[in-house]
Amino acid sequence: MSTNGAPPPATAPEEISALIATLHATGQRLEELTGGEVDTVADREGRSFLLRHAQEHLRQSEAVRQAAIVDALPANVALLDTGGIVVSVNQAWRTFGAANGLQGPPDGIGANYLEICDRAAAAGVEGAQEVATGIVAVLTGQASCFSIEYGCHSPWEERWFLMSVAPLDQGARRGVVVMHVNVTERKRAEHLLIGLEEKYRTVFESSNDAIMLMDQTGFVDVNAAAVGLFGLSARTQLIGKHPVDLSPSKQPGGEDSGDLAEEYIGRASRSGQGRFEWMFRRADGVDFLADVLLTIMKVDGKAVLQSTVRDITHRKRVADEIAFANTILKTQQETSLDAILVVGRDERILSFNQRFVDLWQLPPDLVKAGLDAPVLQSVADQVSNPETFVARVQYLNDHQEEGGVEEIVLKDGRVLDRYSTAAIGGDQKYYGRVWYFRDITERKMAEEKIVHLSRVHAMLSGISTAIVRAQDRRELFKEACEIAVREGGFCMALVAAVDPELQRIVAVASAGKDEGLLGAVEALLSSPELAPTTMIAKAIRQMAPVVSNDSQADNQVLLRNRYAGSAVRSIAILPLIVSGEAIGALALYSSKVEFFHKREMDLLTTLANDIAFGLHALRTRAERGRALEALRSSLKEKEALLKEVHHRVKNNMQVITSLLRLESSRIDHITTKTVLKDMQNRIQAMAALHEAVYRSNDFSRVDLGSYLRQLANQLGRSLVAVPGQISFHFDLHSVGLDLDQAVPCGLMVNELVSNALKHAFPNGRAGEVRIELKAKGPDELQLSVSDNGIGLPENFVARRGDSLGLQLVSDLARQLGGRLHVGPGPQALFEVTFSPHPRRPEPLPVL
Amino acid sequence: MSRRSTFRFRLYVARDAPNSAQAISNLGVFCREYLKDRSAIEVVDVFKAPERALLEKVFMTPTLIVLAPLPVRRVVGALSNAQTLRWVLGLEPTTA
Repeated sequence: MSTNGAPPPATAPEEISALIATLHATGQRLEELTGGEVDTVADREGRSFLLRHAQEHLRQSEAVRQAAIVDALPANVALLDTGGIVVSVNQAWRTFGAANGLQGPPDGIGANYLEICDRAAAAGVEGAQEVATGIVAVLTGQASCFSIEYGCHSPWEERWFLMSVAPLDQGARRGVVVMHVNVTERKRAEHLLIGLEEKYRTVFESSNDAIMLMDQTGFVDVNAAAVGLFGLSARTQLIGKHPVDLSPSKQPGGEDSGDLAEEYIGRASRSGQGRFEWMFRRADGVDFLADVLLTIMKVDGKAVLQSTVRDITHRKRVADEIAFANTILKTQQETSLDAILVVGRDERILSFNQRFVDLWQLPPDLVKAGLDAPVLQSVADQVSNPETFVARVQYLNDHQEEGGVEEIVLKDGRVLDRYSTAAIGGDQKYYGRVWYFRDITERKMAEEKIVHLSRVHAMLSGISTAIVRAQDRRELFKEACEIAVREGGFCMALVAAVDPELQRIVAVASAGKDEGLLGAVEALLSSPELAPTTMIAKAIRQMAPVVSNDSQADNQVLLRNRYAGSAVRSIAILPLIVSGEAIGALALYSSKVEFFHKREMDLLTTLANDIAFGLHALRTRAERGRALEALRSSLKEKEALLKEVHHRVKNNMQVITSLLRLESSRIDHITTKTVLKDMQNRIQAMAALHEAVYRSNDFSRVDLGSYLRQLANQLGRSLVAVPGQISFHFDLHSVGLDLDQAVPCGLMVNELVSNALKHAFPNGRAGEVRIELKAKGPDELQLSVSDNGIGLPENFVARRGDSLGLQLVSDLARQLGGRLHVGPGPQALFEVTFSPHPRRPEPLPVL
Repeated sequence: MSRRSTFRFRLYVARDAPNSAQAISNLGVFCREYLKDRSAIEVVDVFKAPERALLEKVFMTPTLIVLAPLPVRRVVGALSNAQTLRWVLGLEPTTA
C-alpha cells in the first residue's frame, strides 16, 4: 500500500529483501528475549509491538470467533467473493445445503454460486434466474441489497425461504453474503389468515342471519340475507345506511330509536359484544322484531361493528302461543280435582299442581326443585307398600306404552286412585309421563259401607226366613247366630236369655269361629259378680242397644284383651223384647272398628224385633195349638149331634108322611086326598133334604143339583101311574147352597114338578119334564122347570092366586130373594133367578 | 504481614493475545484458590491505554503489578507457576 503515490525506485527489490530479513531476525530475537511468555513489548516512547506468535494467534482467533457467530445463526449463510465463488458457509448451510436447490452442494466452498443458480434455472427451479441477477447486481454495486421469497417444497411439506444478498463491505466490492432464511411458518400463518378470511366470507355470505358490518360512516358491507331481510334488492341500498334508518322512530318500549341504538352500540364497543332485541322496519313499511348480536372486530387496525340480525317475529309468536297454552294448561291443572304431576324423560319434574303438593303433604320447595327422585322418595315413604310402589313406577317409566288406573293405599289409611299415562306429542315423541292422583277414601268407605249394609240385609232376610221356619226357640236362636256369622260376616254372634227361674243370664245359642272367646263370654255371664256389669246385662236392663265401636279403647268392654286376641273391634248388644219385657239379648261381634252406626243399628234393631216377634209367635202358636185341639174335639161332638138331629128330623118327617098316608087312605074325599098327597110330597121333599145334609160331610151346605134330581125321581115314583110315560130331563149344575136357600128351592121344584106330572100329560100323554139349574151371571143362579105337555090354561095368570101350589112357588121365590118368571106359553116354563148366599167365612185355619 | 490484608493487583495485557489471556485466567484461578475474598484485580489493555503503560514503565505484556500490600512488586509472564507467585507474594515462607 502506498501513501505518497510515488512509484517505487528501481533499487527497491534489494532493499525490501534486506528489510524482510531484518524483520525476521528482529522477531526471532524478541521471542528469545521474552521467553515466549510475553505478547507485546514497548519502547521508551510507549510504542507497542505485537510479537509474531501473538499476531498469528489474534488473527486466527478473530476468524474463529466470526465463524462461530455465523455458525450459530439459524439462517443458511454463505460468503461469496467478487466472482461469485463460495468462500465460506455456516453450519446451517452445510446441514441444509443438499435440500435446497438454490444452495448447491452441502459443502460447496469453491463452487461458483452464480453457476449453481444458472443450472437450477435450466432445471426449472422457480426464481433461480432472478437470484442470479440479484446477486450480480449487488456484487457489482448496482444494488445495495436484494431479497426474494421462494418455495422449496419437499415431498412431505411445503417450505418457504427468504433469500437475501448483502455486500460484505458496503462501498468496497469485496463480495457478498448470501443468506437463506426458512419462512415456512410465517408463510403458513399468512396462508391461514387468507384461509380464515375466505371462510369468514363464506360464512358471511351463506348465513341465514342477516350480517352487516358497520363503522362510524354506517354499513360498509352486508350479506345477501340482510338485503332480503329488509325487503331490498341490492346491497348498495344498505351501504352507508345507519341502523336507525332501518327502524321505526320509537322502539316498542317507547325509547327513541336513535338514542337507544347509540346506547347499545356504545355498550357493545366497551364490552366487545352486545345482544338485544330491536324493532326494525322493512322497505315495505312492515315492522319486525329481531334478535341483534353486536360484535366488535378489528380490521386493519380499525374497529368494525358486526351486527347479526335474526327475525324473531315468528319465534316470538310461537313463544306467545306456548305461553298462552301453558296458562290454559296450568289453570286446568290447578282447577283439576286430581293431583297432577308431570315428569320428563330426564327425570325432571315438568309440571305439577297445588293439589299434588297438598295431597302428598310435600314441602313446596322439594317439588319446586324439579327433581323427581326426592319427590318419589317422599311419596313412597307414605304408601303402605313402598317397594312395590317404587318398582311399579320404575316399570312404568321403562315401559312408555303402559299405563292405567291403580289403587294405592297410604299408611294413614287414605286410598288413592293413580292414573298414569305417557305424554306423547303429536310428533309421536315421548316427552315424559303424567301421573294423576285422586283421593277415593270416602268413595271407598261408602263402598265398604254398602257391602256392610248389604251383608246385614242378607242376614236380616235369612233370619226372617228362619223365624217363619223355626219350630222352637232354641232352633231359632241357633239359626239366627249362624246366619249372623255366615251372611252378616260377623266374627261371632251370641244369644243370651234371661232364665226366669235362676234369675240369671245364660248363653243359649252362639256361632263363631272362636271357641275360646265364646267360652270366655259364657264364663263371664255365669260369674255372679261380673255378669251384671256386662254389656249384655246392661242392654237387657235398659231394654236398649249397647254399642262399643272400638272395643280396645272402651272401658265398658270387660274382655278387652280377650277381644284383641280374637280381632274383635266392634260390639253391639241388642235386647230381645217380647211383650214389653226383655227376655234376652243378641250380641254381635265385628272385626271392624266403627262398624255399628245408625244405619246398621236401625237394621239390627229391626232384626232384634223380628226375632222377638218370632219368639212371641212361637209362644202364641203353642197356646193356640192347644185351644184348637179342644175346639176340634168339641166340633166333632157337635157334628155328631147335628147329624143325629138331621137324622131325627128326617125320621120324624117320614113318620109324619106315614101318618098322612094312613089318614088319606081312610078318607074318600078326593080333594082332601089330593091335599094330603101334596102335603106328603112336600114333607118328603124336606126330609130328603135333611137326609142329604146328614149324609154329606158339610152340614151347612147341600149339593142342590143332586138333591133336586133325587127329589124329582121321588115325585115321579109317587105321581106317574104308568112307568115311562113321562121322563125327566136334568141339566143340573153341581152348586153348593146352604139350607136356608136349599129348602125353598126343594119346595118350589116339588110344587112345579108335581103340577106338571098331574096336569100336563092327561089321558096317558107321553112327554118330558125338564129341570135345569144354571149359573146366570157372576152371582146369579137360574132354576127352571118346563115340560112339553099340553101347556098352561088360557087363564093361568088369573088363576094363580087360587092354587096353593102356585101361591107357594111365588112365596118361596120371594123367600129366596129371587124373581119368578112364567114363560109366555103355550109350553109351561117357570124360571126362578136368585143370588146364592155367599159362603160363610171359614173358621180360622188350623195351624 | 497480616494474613487478612487485601491484595490489589493491576494486570497489563495485550488484548487477548495468548499469554495475556493465559495470565488473566491464571491470576483469576490463583485468587479464587488462595486469596478468597481478599483480592482486587484491575486489567489494563496496553493497546487501549498505552499512556498508562508508559507512565508505569510497563514495557512488556503481560505484566502483573502487585500494588498492595507493599512493597510494589512486578511479575512478567503468563503467571503459569503458582508456586513462584506464592513466593513472590510472601505466602510461601521458604524460598524456591
